Amino acid sequence: MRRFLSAAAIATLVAVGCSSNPEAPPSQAPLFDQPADFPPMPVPADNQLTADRIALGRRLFFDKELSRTREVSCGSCHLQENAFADPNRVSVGIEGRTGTRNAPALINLAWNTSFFWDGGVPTLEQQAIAPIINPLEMDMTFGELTGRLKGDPSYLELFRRAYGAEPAPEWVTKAIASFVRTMVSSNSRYDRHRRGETQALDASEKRGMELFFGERAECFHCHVGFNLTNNAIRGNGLYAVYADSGRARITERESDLGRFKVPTLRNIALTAPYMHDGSLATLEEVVEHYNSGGKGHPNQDPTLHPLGLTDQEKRDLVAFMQALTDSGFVADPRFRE
Amino acid sequence: MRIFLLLAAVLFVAACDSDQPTPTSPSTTELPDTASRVIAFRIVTSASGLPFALDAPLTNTFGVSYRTSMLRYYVSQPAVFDSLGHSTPVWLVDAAGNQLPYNLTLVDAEKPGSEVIRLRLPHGTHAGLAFSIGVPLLGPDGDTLNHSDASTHDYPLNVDADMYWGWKPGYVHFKVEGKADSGSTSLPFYYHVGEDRRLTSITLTGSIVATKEGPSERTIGFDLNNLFVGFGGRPSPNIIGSTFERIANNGPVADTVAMNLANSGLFTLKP
Repeated sequence: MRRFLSAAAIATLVAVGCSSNPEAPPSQAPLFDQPADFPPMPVPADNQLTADRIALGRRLFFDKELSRTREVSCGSCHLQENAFADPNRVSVGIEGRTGTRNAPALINLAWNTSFFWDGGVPTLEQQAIAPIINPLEMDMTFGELTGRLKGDPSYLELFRRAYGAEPAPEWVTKAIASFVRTMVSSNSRYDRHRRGETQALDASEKRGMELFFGERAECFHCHVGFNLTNNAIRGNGLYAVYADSGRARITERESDLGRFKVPTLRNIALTAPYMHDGSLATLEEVVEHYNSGGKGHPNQDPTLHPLGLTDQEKRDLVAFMQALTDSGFVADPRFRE
Repeated sequence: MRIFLLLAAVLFVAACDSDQPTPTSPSTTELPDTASRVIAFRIVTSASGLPFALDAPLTNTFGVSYRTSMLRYYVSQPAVFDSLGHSTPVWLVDAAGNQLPYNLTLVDAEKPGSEVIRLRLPHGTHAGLAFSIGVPLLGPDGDTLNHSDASTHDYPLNVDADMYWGWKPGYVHFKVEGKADSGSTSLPFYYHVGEDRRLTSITLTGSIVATKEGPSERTIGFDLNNLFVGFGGRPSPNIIGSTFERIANNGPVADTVAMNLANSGLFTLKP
């Protein structure tokens, strides 16, 4: 089912996405930023990116018509200034309803291999279904939603241009996925340091980076690679007994109790509060948690152990994580309402 | 030969209609009307012999009063078998005799008529009927079905059929929800059973005559009370037990429900 673009098609898209071609006509403006040091963006063959699809997805993402009571949109809980995370511990859906998990940031999701804190959903397109129908979030039916969209002539035109069809559930989810897929963040000071800007990081941030990628703090075992995540599901020992079963909700295996998806650390300074339940308010608290070695849950990852970091080392780690902020990403007008 | 060519042409045209799902037949060729017969099987739900209706008071085998607010399940992978146990896959069809997409249907107590499942059977006398409760991992065409993107499907596999887990793409094979009386309180219960390993096979033994001489309608009994009778005749799942026993989105209790579906004689083919 998950057929992806051929290498040639990816190459074409990347070429289209290359903004350095001065002869490119306006109609071939880049659809998304393909960072040179990232792998080619995977795009499903049955939902190739076009400007019209991205535009439709952007409109839907910020439209409160997607919720039954017209109170919330995707953008209500995924705020650009917070790297599309939610500063609330848990998000507030329609009629003040609250869930149990912290809204994850939407950063470089095109490269993710699973979605939600338990990694239960395999594609961005399928991911878009859950918040719309969840009674604690939008509490909407697709029948009602497509009825509303069909009643709006401007949407009829957008859907026609994007998918050559009237509004339907499939095009709603595909369009939202298309927009979210373009949310690429790759220009933090850490990125610039990696690309050779030796002055991009200060001394404390560089020490923090050494700790982060070394055996002293061991962060890199999970937060690794271009997106600072291994996309794995791990137990970080946040609790000795979990109220949220985590990955076990999906697999029904005891060995997955208390295990959650490893998030990217890109823009992490903007996405507080932290952890699956938003229970840690600051990066300092996060560092303190890992320094403690965790609460010893049976499924806690074996790489966690008391670190014995000094106060200076903790400050350096926090400084490095703050250097992961991409200020251009959170100000990019392409991702605004 | 002419009939064959005509049939091939019809099948080819049908396969070229891009707006419609194009499931392949369980058998290699479509059975012509002269070689098949459509029989309507009406599933009649009861509770220990008493008529079932949503929100009507019922009493289970253990004397517990309860009401059901929802009862839905998919029927898929139908087949008939002969006296030697050789199985022949058959198609679910609509009232006009057209094949149902994906060869499945949703029985929903809220939708009158959904309890009638129509099968196009090969001519002859069959020793019994088999089907599955749930959405198979793969559809008749071999494509992923259970974990496919529900936003791409029409009823009964669409999102609004309310049988799809958005947080874990996959269908709920079987749903029953209600409330049970326990002393002076009313306890909610619901059992949502999904996952590939809980696709439940049902085998109903009994002569089925698929000829002009045979009946065009048959009855399948469905005794809901048997769903709550577990191994050794114990109340399992216990609809007045702990929350763990009363509420299940998969997990061990869903295993019990799936086992009861298969083993408790819940479905019976009436003569």
